[in-house]
Amino acid sequence: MRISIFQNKKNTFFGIFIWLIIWEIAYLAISQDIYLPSPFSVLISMIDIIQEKEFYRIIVMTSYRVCLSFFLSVLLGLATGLICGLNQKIFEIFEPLVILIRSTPVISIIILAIIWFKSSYSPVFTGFLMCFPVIWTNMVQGIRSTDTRLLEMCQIYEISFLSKLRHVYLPSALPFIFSGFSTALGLTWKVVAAAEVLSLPKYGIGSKLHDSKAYLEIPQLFAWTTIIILLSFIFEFILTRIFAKNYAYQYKED
Amino acid sequence: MIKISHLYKKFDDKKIFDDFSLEIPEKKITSILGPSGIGKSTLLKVLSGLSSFESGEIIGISDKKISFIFQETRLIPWLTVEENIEFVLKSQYKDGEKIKLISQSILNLVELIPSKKLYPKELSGGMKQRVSLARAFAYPSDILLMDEPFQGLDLRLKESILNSFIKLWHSNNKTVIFVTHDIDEALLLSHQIYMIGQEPLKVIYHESFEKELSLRSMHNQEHILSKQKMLSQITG
Ligand SMILES: Nc1ncnc2c1ncn2[C@@H]1O[C@H](COP(=O)(O)OP(=O)(O)OP(=O)(O)O)[C@@H](O)[C@H]1O
Ligand SMILES: [Mg+2]
Repeated sequence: MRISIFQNKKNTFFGIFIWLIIWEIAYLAISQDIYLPSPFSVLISMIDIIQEKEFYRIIVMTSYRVCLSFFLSVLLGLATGLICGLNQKIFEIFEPLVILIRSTPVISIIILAIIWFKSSYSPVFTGFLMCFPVIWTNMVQGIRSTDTRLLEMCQIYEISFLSKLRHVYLPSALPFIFSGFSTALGLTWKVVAAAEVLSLPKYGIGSKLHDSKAYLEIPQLFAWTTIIILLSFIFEFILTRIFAKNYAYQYKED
Repeated sequence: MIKISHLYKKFDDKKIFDDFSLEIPEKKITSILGPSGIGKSTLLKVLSGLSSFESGEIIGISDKKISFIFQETRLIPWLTVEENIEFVLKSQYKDGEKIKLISQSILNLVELIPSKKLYPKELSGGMKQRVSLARAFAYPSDILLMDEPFQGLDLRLKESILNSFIKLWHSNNKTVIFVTHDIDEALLLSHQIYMIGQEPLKVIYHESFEKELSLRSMHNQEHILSKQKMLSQITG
């Protein structure tokens, strides 16, 4: 199982502190705000940003896009992944499509999405296309990892497909599903923000990143970036909490 | 009657069954006794339809309900002892109370009531084996296939489960096919014994017992005599 970044809080904060000091030293050495701002000016910039009237609207809209694209990929990724994990023929139909999506450069997808969709939804589409392959692949692997000896046992005892799905396939796939969710969620934040930079929705963190670049407001760029990272951690934390409950049984091989 | 005729099966180049035939009477306990690696588990898998075979015919089993005590326990790791039993009952009964009743009485039989809320990883090997026994006993089958069901049990427990098993068997008269390599177990628990040996698999000795099934003593004359006869078959 993945080791959560939130374990061992004390050591983590100590590590962060060290890197903040190194950052400050680097800033003093370079001493040019435009290349590398000081952590203090980033902090001040962040406080300014948070006080802006539109701040909540901006983060809510970006979070909304992240959630939407994440849930879409979860929904479709799990459903099609399940079918493909169970049926080799259908897997062979899906696999080339998934490989195609996975190999396409993000930037091409973003540009295409901007042409196809309104500026507010093209990041959602992009996020979906980036996450879907991750969740699909993990689901297929998870379903395939199901112990065939348990499946034979189910066959003998005439267990219905639904019961098998619920009590055998899904619990077997759960660690894979969790790992897929976790990777996909982190990816969504990056991809949605990147897509916003190009599609420039009215409210969006990506649009703000674009503004910072346009006006060369480097501390603001760092501040928004920090906000993305923090939000992404919070989401990951919530996800971990939800899955932690389902790990109660953590089993050993017999 | 379950009838296996002219069975052929091989794994890659290794012939397991080469024109193998066997008859197993209904409503009786038949033991199949043989050394390790000869194909006993494979025979049960073929009988239960889990394994395919090249040619031959098996009649009298495909339309029956089967329960199977596998050589490995095959419990579901994320379900408790009790849930593992109820899991197979739910495919057969809709009435929740009936399911509870059956599972509790079976758990009582294998002395696992105090452990019913534990997960498989929290059980000893023998306890897992008992859950697997309980699951097979609880399931309403016509035929019971048992692959070394008493491995890992100490003598007291084995005796107590054997006793319960005989009681249970008298109440439902299932057709039982019992695979083991323990002569004593086979002699204690069967109406007839097939001893198999050689590769590919052949019946090398067959004995039926006339008398009613009840727990025979390991120390009575008849038992010792049969055991000697069988041992002489192995040593030649
Ligand atoms: N899935 C398989 N693929 C290839 N060979 C197999 C497979 N299953 C069993 N065998 C081979 O078939 C032979 C018989 O195996 P089987 O498990 O039926 O023996 P067994 O009589 O049950 O032995 P034991 O008493 O040790 O359980 C062995 O030589 C084994 O290596
Ligand atoms: Mg075996």
